[in-house]
Amino acid sequence: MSQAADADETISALVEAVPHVSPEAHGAEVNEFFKVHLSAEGVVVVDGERPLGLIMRNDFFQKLGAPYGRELFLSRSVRLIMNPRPLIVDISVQLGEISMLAMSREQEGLYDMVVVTDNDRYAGAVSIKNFLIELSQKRAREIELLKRQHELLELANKAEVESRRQIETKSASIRNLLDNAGQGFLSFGPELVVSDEHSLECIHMFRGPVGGKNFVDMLGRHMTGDAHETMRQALVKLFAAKAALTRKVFISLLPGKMEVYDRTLTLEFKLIQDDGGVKIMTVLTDVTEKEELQRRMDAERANLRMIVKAVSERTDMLAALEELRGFFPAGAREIIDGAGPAEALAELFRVVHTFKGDFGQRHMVNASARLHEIEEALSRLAANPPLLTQDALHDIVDEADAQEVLGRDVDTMTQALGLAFLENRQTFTVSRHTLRKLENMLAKLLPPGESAEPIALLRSISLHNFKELLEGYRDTLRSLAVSLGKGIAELDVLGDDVMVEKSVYQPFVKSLVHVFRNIADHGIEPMEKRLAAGKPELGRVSCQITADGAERFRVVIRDDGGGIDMDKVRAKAATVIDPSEAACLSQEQLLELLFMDNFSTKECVSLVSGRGVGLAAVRGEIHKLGGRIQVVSHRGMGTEFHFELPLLEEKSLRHKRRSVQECHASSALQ
Amino acid sequence: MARILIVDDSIVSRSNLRRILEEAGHEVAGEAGDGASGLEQYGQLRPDLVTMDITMPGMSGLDCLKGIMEKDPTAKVVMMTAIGQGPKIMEALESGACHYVTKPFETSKVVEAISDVLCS
Repeated sequence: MSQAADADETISALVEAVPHVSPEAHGAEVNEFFKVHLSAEGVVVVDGERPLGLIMRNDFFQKLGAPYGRELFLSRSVRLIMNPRPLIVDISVQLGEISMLAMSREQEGLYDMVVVTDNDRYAGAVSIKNFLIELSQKRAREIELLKRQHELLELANKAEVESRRQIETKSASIRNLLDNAGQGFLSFGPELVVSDEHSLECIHMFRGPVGGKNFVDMLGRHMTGDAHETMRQALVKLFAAKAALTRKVFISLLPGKMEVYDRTLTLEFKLIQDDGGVKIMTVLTDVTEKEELQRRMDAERANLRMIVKAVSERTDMLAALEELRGFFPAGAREIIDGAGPAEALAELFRVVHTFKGDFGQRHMVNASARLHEIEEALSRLAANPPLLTQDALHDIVDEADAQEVLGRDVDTMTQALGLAFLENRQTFTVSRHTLRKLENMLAKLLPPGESAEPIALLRSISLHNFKELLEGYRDTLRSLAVSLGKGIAELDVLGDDVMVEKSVYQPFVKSLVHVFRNIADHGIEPMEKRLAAGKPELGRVSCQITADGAERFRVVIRDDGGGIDMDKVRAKAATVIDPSEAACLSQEQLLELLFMDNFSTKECVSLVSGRGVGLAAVRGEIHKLGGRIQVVSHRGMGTEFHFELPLLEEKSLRHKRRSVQECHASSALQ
Repeated sequence: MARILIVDDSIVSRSNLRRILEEAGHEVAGEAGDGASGLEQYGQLRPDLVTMDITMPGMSGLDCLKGIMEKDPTAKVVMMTAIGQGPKIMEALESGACHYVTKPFETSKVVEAISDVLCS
């Protein structure tokens, strides 16, 4: 239209030196500034010469005016208040272009200032208000002309205008879609000039209009000389290529990822045919945040692996930490002073290399990386014999501080596991809660294939399957059977998988040896007696574990022997208490006696089980856990020991112990 | 499927490549440890395809490629390069190479490149 008139007019005439603040400032300073400078529309946040963001007056005061606004924003860093993605353009942008750019912004930012850079350095900003006034004054006549032409067109061809409008809407909505996809779309033909049909995001990405620019030059600014040249040649060849394979090869030579104004962009190239010939469409995607997230997740995963390794190989790790602390600086200095520089360097290198490998194995990535740097410094010296002196070596070693090397990783471990973890004691406490938390984090951050192993490792530290705890009794029962001359089949351990804290239940499980001894000795009859009674030759003993909700579980030890001989028990009772009373005892009460100290139905104390102390021990253990025993016996058929147990964690166990002791104390007084 | 000549000065690379090619069903017709013997073996064996390492002492991969293309303009040569050798790759492609693969070798990429070249 009247391009010629403003061909020379860039926005440089409109740029104002808008005051700026440093990224370290807070809302309070911005507030003060706006109070003093009543006509200032906004401030720019500048770091050195790089514009970082924009704070507009209206937005700022709106934020302050909201509930708790003052408390929230006055002390807040400007980084968190500012708009981090204002429209930033280069000073060479034309007047006409800037109006399109500014007006195509989102509703909220439509009248924000536009930040201007000169050669990527902050140069000022343009006030949209001033700009619009300037523009409208210049455009007054053209607008009149347009109006008249528009009227004529409407009169002349209403139908055509209508269908054109429909097409406009459709392509506008597609453009809108592309503009809001967060990706930049642009295309260019063999002349490498970017077409005007491109998405808005491109403007953000390249800080200026891209239509009409040379694609290679536009990207070349952000690449090395070699890569720039290769891309140019590859594109030329790509357009000239006819065979599909050749095209594929040259596309593979184009850059897939690059840094533009501190953002990481990925590039995809597609060849498209239209009636204008062959064109290349480029899709640019800003993956900066995704990569940052990925980096953080990788760091999280590495930390987790490190923590799990530290927990399961604690002693080794503590030893490794001690070794490193001894080496930097004392051990290293000894090496340097004790030999010629070349020898000392070789020795230092070996030691550092070994440390690096060891800490790498433990997933202590920060320590490992720091050690790698030290290794590199040593390598550089080695490659430069004239610089290799004792002093030079001392310099490197003095800079390397054990605290500095280990600091970050040790902090991470301490945060997760507590300070006590790193104290050099034989045992330490890791709460079940922490282990569970670690387990959840592992499951969340690692894919199932990778998380299975560390999770199993963690579990091995804390919980055991109760069935596992009973496994040892297979052998025990077998040996008992042999030594007592009884025929007993393999022990059956069946039922639910109840996971328990080994240390909590171990004493109880240990005491069960008395039950098994009792079964083998008194319970199962000699083979002849069994056969005579029509029973299978070998006695059967089983342990059945049943979960009872989430808080309790039951263990039943069953045998198919002769049952407890009640008469014998009663007879024995008569020797301990008044015979008449003994005659009145119920079956339950008689069984109770079995569990009392010093009660036994054997006339002679046998080496295997006698004196009755054994079963009393079992009762003691059960009561410590807050559980219950019940014995059910059927003459001639067998006996069942029912143990009802709560599912405990250590904390509640101690509490129960205390209350049980109190109970005993009070009953003793009675 | 195809008879392939491997030209690379590294024994490790050659054996790696051999394994990948044989597992993909190709026949390794020969191995050459430098450009000169690569050129010679090409003349004798007339393989269906050549894999050529770009950086070699003595006669470079590029020179060997040019020698082969001179003898046989229909020769199919795939260049093996390290990362960041854009200009060298461009020169090789301009001199007649059909494709390129970057080291360290990813089996899938090697197999794909070879199939693409053989089928074109």
